[in-house]
Amino acid sequence: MTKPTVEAPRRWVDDPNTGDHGRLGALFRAVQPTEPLSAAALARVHARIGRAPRTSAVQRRVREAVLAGVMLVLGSSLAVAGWGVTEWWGARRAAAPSSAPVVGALAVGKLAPQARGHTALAPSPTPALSADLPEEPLLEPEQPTVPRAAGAREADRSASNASASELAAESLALQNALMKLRREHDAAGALALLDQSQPLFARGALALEAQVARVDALLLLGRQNDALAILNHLPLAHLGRGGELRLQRAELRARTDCGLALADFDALTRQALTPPLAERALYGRAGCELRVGDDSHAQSDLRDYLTRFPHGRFSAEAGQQLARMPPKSP
Amino acid sequence: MASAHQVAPIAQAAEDIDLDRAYREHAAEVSRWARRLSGKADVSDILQEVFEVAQRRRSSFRGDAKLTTWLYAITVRVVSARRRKARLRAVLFLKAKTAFELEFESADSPEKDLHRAHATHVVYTVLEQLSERDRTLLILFELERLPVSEIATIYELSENNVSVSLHRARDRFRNLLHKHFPEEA
Repeated sequence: MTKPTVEAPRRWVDDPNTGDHGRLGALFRAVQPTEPLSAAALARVHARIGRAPRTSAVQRRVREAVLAGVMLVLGSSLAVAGWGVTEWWGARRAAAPSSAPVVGALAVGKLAPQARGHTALAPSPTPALSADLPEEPLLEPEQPTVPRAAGAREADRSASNASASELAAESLALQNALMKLRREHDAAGALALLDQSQPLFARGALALEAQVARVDALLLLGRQNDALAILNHLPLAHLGRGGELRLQRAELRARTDCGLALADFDALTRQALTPPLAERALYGRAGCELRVGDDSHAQSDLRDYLTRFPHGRFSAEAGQQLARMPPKSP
Repeated sequence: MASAHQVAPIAQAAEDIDLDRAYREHAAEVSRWARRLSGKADVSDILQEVFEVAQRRRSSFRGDAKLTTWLYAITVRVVSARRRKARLRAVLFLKAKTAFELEFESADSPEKDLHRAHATHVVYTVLEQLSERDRTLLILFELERLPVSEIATIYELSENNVSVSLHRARDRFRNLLHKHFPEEA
């Protein structure tokens, strides 16, 4: 039996009607056309093909995170395996005490010549395995260099494991705070969690993300000055929500210092923002211009606002402000 | 969907292609597709990767399919692979999902700009909520106006299969549009 043929749908964009398909067609037809790269950019890419690696900072971060994860797993496995070898070796030593020193020395020499003094993986052949002997250094004082190197390696390994587990712990702490904030809408709870983890991860890999979460929580709690104090020190250009945070900062600055706020608003109105952000930036700038007495620019921005956002959030206020202003001189 | 590095042969017979010439003739168009499919991010990188994949896989290009279709297929796969990686990065680094942004080319008037920006925002917001495949299918069919036969070649599917997928993708798009932008539906 052959499958019935399904007719290809008629494109919405080719539908001139006013029905459901026609409306969708009009919507798709209005989507901005895309432009190709400039000739200069095309030439640059052509020169790069097959030569330069395309590893970006983000890719490097992903690789580092994956590497950290692998090291964490590897480190844990080694620790568990090392503990198992020690236990097994101890049992064997206990079973055959007379031959153990020779076998132990050979085994240590064969497997890890540079780690002869390493107590975790290669126990000393001296009768240190007896449980009732007092704890004392297993190394002879005249062999200082080799054990120190082994110790350094162990310290390095522990440090990598620690940094990987620190990243995991930091990530978990931030995740908990964000859940509190975004799912439970509990800003105070989120702030408490951020306060708890802040001393531990002040210089962590996710410190900036934690600061942004703190700003969100503070704003929800109405602590605008505290939020602004943080925003003033954040490198907004390096954050995913840079435009939105800069707008937030501009609006907070506008309450007390329109000069500073205008610098932010100016930069924002030059950027390609989503309509809701563009709307806030333009109206915010007009408000600041009014406050600093720059009526001419304020009037122009208010008119621009009403043209671009005739049904916007602030269209009523913008209309009223414009009506109160004297007509612009030609 | 196959990965970016597993672009399957499109047709039979074998004549090597001159990639320098292909770059001169089609790079601008590929960069436009890349921008359409991926937004403003990484267009140069995508273009570079597309032609590097093409260079590695040029023996798999067989002359009876259009070169542009072959390049389109590579572009679709490269962009899909990058978007998958971006989603993974977002999960790894707890980044909020960023909105799809197209580079804004100013139109004739502010009203037209606004209308276009709004339509683009609505369409791409809904497209972002579809599966990668539905999203790409709709972009290829409605925005790039590719014929079903060419989409079938790109995805290595039958035309019937593509038609069914398109009907379903359009239904899903319509439902999501009703849900999120009822005033547009």
